[in-house]
Order: sequence, then structure tokens, then C-alpha cells
Amino acid sequence: MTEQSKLITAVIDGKQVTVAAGTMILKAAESIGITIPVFCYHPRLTISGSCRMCLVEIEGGSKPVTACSTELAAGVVVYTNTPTVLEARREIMENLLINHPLDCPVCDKGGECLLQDHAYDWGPGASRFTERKRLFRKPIPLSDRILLDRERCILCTRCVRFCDEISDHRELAILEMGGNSEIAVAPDRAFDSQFSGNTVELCPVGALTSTSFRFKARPWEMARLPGICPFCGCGCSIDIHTRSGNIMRFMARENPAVDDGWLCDRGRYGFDLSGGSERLTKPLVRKQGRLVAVSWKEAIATAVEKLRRAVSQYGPGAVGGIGSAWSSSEENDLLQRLIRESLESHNVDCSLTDDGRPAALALAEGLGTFTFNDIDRADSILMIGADPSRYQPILDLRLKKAVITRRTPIFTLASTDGEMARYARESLRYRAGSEESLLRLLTAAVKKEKRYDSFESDLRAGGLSREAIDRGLERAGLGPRTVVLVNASLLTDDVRVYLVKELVAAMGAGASTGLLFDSANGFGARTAGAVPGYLPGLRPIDRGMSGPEMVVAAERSTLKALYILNREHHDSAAVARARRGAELLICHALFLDEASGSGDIVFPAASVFEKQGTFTNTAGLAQSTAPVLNPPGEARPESTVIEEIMERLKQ
Amino acid sequence: MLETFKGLLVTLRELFKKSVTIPYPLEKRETYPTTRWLHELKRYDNGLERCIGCALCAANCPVHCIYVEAGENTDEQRFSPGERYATVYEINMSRCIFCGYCEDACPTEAIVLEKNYELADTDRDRMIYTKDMLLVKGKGPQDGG
Repeated sequence: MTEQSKLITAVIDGKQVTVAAGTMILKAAESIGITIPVFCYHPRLTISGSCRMCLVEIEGGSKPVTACSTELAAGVVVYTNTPTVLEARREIMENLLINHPLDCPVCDKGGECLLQDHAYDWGPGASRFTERKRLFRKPIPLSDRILLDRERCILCTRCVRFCDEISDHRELAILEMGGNSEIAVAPDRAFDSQFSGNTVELCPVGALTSTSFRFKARPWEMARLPGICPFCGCGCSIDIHTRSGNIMRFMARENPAVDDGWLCDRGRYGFDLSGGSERLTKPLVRKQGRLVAVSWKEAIATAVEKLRRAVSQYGPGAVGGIGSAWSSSEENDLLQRLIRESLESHNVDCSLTDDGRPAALALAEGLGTFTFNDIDRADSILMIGADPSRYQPILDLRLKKAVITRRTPIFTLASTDGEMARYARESLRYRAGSEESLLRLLTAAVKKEKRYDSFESDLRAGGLSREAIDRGLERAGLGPRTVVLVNASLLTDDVRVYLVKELVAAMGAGASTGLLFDSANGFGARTAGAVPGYLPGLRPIDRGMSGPEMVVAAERSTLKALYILNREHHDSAAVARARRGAELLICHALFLDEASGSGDIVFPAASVFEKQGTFTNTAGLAQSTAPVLNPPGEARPESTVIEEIMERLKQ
Repeated sequence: MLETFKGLLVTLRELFKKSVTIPYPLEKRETYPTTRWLHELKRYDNGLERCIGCALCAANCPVHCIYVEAGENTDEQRFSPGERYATVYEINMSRCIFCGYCEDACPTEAIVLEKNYELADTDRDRMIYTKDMLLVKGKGPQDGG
């Protein structure tokens, strides 16, 4: 048994507790249900021990000690509720409240504030301070999103520690000393981290507030419903706070398998889908060249009749359906069933601009098996074309954690600048377009083959050499427990998929691969069968046209009818091109814009917060969401509409 | 027979006494000092609104008839002292039970139940009293003052 895992026994408040040696008193007390009040302590940050709120008494000790930073020793007797401890808490509270303003009624934190709660539970009840409180101009902006109220700050340094340890952007610091201390953006820095919103959530008082939630609602007025963030491939767990039919804010909900309790600003502040425009509330059908609002019954009848006519007139091959990597798996499954089963066509894809098939092939070939927790255990990490800092921010935090806490070596190969290059042992740039040569060379290097093929000259033109790759592999120590992260959008054809497969196989058994999707359900849209050549569960089937092929075919009028799910997430230019030659364009849309307005039948859709659905994140974790709002007007979830069309097509 | 006359005598006597009813609405009775009827949102002497939009009144309301939305004061447009003011302040008067708990909860003594009891209406929508109906008239920025 090592020193670390040795168990010790001690007594806290008369209760016996057995914990691993090295456990802090606070955590040991927590394990037997004794809560000690804290301000600066946070389970996911390093220990600061600065607020002194967690003072406890140890029998035989000369003075109280901080429970958060004192290890529990074997056999000691700890008290958390002696008169000395209570007196210490009262004094700490009195000291903190000297300068803290009494503006709880205007403060956004009022109602969920640690200082408020502790003052109520442990405070002296009355103030003896009659002098003038410290006054500051309030609030001052730290960034476009975050405001600081220095009067309210209790200098717990949680925000500073977050920026130093978790996001590693180091933008916040304490300026001045003693009584003049204040939190500020470090000199010559800007607080522009994509994780800045976490500091607001970490702040135990109302010192840090966000511009997006400022004065929007009081904490007790909001309904809190669990959800999944729909803004990137990570699928972080969130709590959605709503008030009278509106989303007020997102808060992080800890999920160790994904987000570790953090949230990026894109997710946290991205919930306003409206962009200020009016939502579609009634189905629209084109009559004599103009879109006219009609009843659902008529809209669906028209869609059924026109789809049926297109199939009978031009054959099933003239009909196509586009799912969406941003729609739920259920919706994508229904769409492919509508096209494949009801209309007997094979033209299904999930994007108008990219072929969805290669990534599906990669999944079918057993790539894409990694989990976020693999990063914590990995011996080394190889990143190809991936920029998680921009596209999968929470994965970026996971990678930083591995580098900072375990010194995991990372080898990045990218065609653009990415933040992760700073954390990599070795980072190389390649020229965009030379990915295939890169994969071949990388595989040859991993296999230690001495082949020099034509592909190397391709890479040399981009400034990359076999020697550089060999050096990178050696420094990063790639091997059996390597995690290979590949940007899914690099997989544009089958050759690349097999090259990645060969590369991973060359690493040895145990290496896991992650396909990094930028979209919320890039993984799930493929496993739900909204790609050419694959049914749900990635069972192969005849391959029809891909999305880009459908656009070309529609433009040339060889594809007559196109059914588009989730119009907002498809390229408007591609929709316009398809429109030029297609006879029938049906789409589900939230808003009436140029692209949806060019449709023949437009169904008002429900936003991602207004319907149920399953989203599979980039690590293959399927998570369900429940509706938190009602769709406006007559807008309906896409799934119910497609189901009804399928039902009517049967008759 | 005699009892009937005795009864009628009482009626006759009452006829010449002063009446206890009043010809409302031509004449109105004086209210008790502690009576609680229609709310007023008060102002400070300098014309600024007392209400800061904290919504503690709404939190304390047993029938949930108060709805508050808050906004931020700017130096150009200031409604109340400090950072926060009420952009929306509505009371559903057909739900209100005039308990006065809102008055108890108010940290700035902005809301006070005053003596106007003539609240009957034939339209439910008109029973939603908005901020401009509740706020006492005075010199505020929105009144050009």
C-alpha cells in the first residue's frame, strides 16, 4: 500500500471518519455530512485558504485552523461548532461585511449568494461599523460580457484562480495590496477568454455579473430545467433557467464525462436564437408565385400531393432529402425514413455543402471511439487538423488539464493557427489540401518505414518534412495509449478514412480515435442514417446522391424535389443554387429569410429548446433533451410533421 | 293586533332619525387611517422613483399578482437612484387581496397601499395595472422633468 492510499481514522464533531491520508478536514467532514462554510474554497480549483471562513478547532491545538487547507491527521479530534469556531465565523463575517454594500435587492446574486447565506447562518446579525464604507465606481466592465463591482468583491480569488489554472489565459489579477486590493484585468491584457463566463458562475458574491443576464430576473423567479448545450459537438450539460416563456441564462451542470462543470461563452451566452427577427408561426405554401399562410392540414396535404407527383412523374431518384448535423437523431432518422421508405429514394445526406458519408464510413470502421475521459488517461495525444479551442472549447479545457496536471505530450498538426499549439511538445503546420500526403507520411513514420514517395514532395512544398514528423513523434512519444483526434471535416473521401484507420492501427491496439465534429449532432446524424449509403446504426445500403451532388443535380433539374430539415443550419448560397432548377423545395425553418422564402412549402419549425431529441456528442455520447419552452404560434416540432407526411403517403 | 302597532311604531320612529346609508357615489365615506386599497409607487422628493425593480414584492405576494422586470439606469436616462429600476411593473388587481405584504417587503418604501377603493371594472384586461397607472405623478425624466 502506498502512502497516498493509506486510510486514517479521526473524529469530527464526535463522529468517526475514515478517509485516505492527505484528505483535507473540509472534505473529510463533507464525507460524513458535516458542512463547513467556505468562500474561497472550490472543489475544482486549487486551495487558497484566504477567506478564513472554514476555521475549525482541533483538540489540543493552540488556535483554529482552516479546514480547507489542513490535512486530517490520524487520531485527531476536530470540532466545527465550538464557541471559538462560531465566534471566529462571526468575526470573519463582520469583517467581510464592513465594506460589502447593502445592495442585495439590486444585486443579481441576491438569492443565490454565499455571503448572503453565510451572513444569515453565521453572521453577527448587527453591524458595529458606523464609518463610511469603501466606495468605488460601479460597475466597471472587464470585457464586453463581464462587469465587475469592486464594492461587492470579497477577494476570494476564485476568478483569478480559474483564469490561472483552468483556462490558463491568466487575464485576471489582484492589483494593489492589503485594504486597497482589487480584482482587475492584468495590465496589458484583455479579458477575452472564451471561458470568461465561468468566473461569473464561480463568484460567490455579486462582484462579477454578466451583461447578458444583468437585472434580467431574480434567481427565485426562474424555472430550472436540465438540458444539453446545442452549440457545438461537445454537448455540455447545462441548466436552462427560464422565466415567463423566455430563456434567461444557461448555467453549467457538472458532467465529469463531458464538461467537468465548465461551460464556454459560446454555449453560455448563445441561447438567443432569434437574432431579433420574428419567428415563423404559420405554415406557408406557394400559390401563384407567392407564399401564403395556410392551415397545417392544407400544408401537409399539399406536401404529400407534390411529393407523390414528383415520384410518379420523375421516379424516386428525382427526390432528395437533407437532414442536419444540428438536428436531433430522431429527426434525422425520420427524414431518412421519409426519403428511403416512403419515397423509395436513396438521396439522403445531412449537409448541402459536404458529403456526410466519409465520416460515417470512419465511424463504421471503428474510428471515433474516444471518450473525453480518455484524454485524462492518455499517454500522448496526436491532433490532426483539429482546433478544439475554437470549435470544441470544452475539449480544449480537457486537453489543457492533461498538459497542466499530467504533462501529457501533445503533437499537433494543423493548417491554421490554434491555441493548442502552445501546449504541444511539437506542433507542425501543413498546407491545407495536403492532408492525404500528410496522413501517408505520418503512417510511414509511425511504422518506421523508410519509403520516400511522391507524397513527400507535396508536403515539402508546404514546409513539412519526414524529419520534422519523426522528431514530433519521438518527442510526443506516440504509442499504444495515444489518443488521436482528427477534425471530422478533413475526412472528405474514403481514402482519407482508410489512411486514418491505418495510422491508428500502426500505433498499436489501445490507441483511441476521436472524430471532432463542430456540429451538435454530427455524430448522431450519421449514426441515424442521414448520410448516403448508411441506414441507422451504420448498416450499409445503396448509395444515393450526397448533399453537394444533390445541389448540382437540382441546379441542372435532374433532381426535382428537395426536402430540407433545419434550414437555418444550411448554406444559403447552396439552397439558392438548388432552388434554381428544383421544381419542389420543402423546408422546415424558424425564420422567413431569403432561402426559406424561396421554398414552395415552408413549415414553421420548433427551435432546439422547444422539442425533445437525442444529440450524440463528438465523443459518441448520446444525450436526450426535453423541451423547456413552447413553440410560438402554430410552429411544430419537425418530427411530428414528417411522421404525418409519412402516414399520409402510405394511404 | 297590539303587537303589530308596536312594530309599526318602531318603523315610524326610525323614519325620522338620521339615515346610516349615504348616497354613494355622490358622497363618499371617510376611510380608516390603516385602510389598504390601490397601490401607489412613490417618488423621492427629487422626483426619482423609489422603486428599484428588486421584485421582492412579487416574491412576497401570496397570490402572485405582481410582475416586475428590471433594467439599468444610465446617466442619460435615470429613473431611480443606483443602478437598477423597474422597466415593467404590473399588478393584477383582480387577483390582489390587498394584504399589504408587498409594502412590508419593499426595501425602499416604494410601494404603499393607499385609499382608492374604486377598482371595479367590466374588463379583465383593464384590471392589470401597469407602472404608469401605479406611479404617482411627479417630476421624473419620463415626465420631461
